[in-house]
Amino acid sequence: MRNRRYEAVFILSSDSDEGKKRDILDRLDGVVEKGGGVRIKREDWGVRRLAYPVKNQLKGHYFLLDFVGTAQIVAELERHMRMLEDVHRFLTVKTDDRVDLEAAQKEQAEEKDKETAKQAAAKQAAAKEAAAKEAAAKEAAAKEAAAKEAASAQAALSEVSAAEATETEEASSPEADPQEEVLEEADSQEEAEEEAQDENKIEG
Amino acid sequence: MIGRNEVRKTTKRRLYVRKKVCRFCADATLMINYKDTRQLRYFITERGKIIPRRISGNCAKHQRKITLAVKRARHLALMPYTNMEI
Repeated sequence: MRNRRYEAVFILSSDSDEGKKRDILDRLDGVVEKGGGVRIKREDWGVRRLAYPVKNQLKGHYFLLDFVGTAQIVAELERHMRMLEDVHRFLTVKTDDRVDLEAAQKEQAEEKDKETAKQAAAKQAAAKEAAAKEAAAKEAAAKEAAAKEAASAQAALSEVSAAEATETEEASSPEADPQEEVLEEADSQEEAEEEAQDENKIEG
Repeated sequence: MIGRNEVRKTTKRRLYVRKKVCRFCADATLMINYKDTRQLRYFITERGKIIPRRISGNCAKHQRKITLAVKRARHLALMPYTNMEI
């Protein structure tokens, strides 16, 4: 039996849960390995918008399976994909006609190394991001607290000035100012928040 | 007489049509792949039809590859068969 290199792209239903997806992927890997083939790598393209609805769905989770094996494996793989209801579409394409199994195994090992490295990097990045997020949250909390304090202090000041104004009936405009300033600040803050929300909407 | 004029006009216009060169022959690094929809999009109309060779300027060999790639991409819903909204 001649070994050739193939790649199979298939679309999984985007609403099936992660466990089910993993089961399907493992099963397809198993088909390749059982037939004496070498699964070189698997690409996850993520959930993508389809160009037209397939089985009444507008989105699908794309995967690519790169492997070396015989034509029997391809037939078996396609039989399995036909049976699985979560596989909405599949396409197997021959990418190379002459392949050594040994070279394929080497490549598989390389890909594995890369994958583990990538996973480690992703973990690190995630940890970093989480740390950054925490720091940002802390900062925001601190800022908020500071703002609150400042606001309460100003409020107290204005109260004091208001009290003074009532006490000495001669008091005039300059002492009433602080209250107005506080109000104005509140207004501008609200406006800023609204703007931020608008921006979020646009980005969304 | 009118017919004669028309013929003349078309022949005259023909003179200005520049010969297009197949972009894949000109640049050997360009690959045709059904997964690369961004590049394939250049060879379909807004409606999703494959643009003929006489307009795109591809050579026969590369046009065959383009059509195959577009058809594969269509099967995988990476590209539309038709786009009736436009």
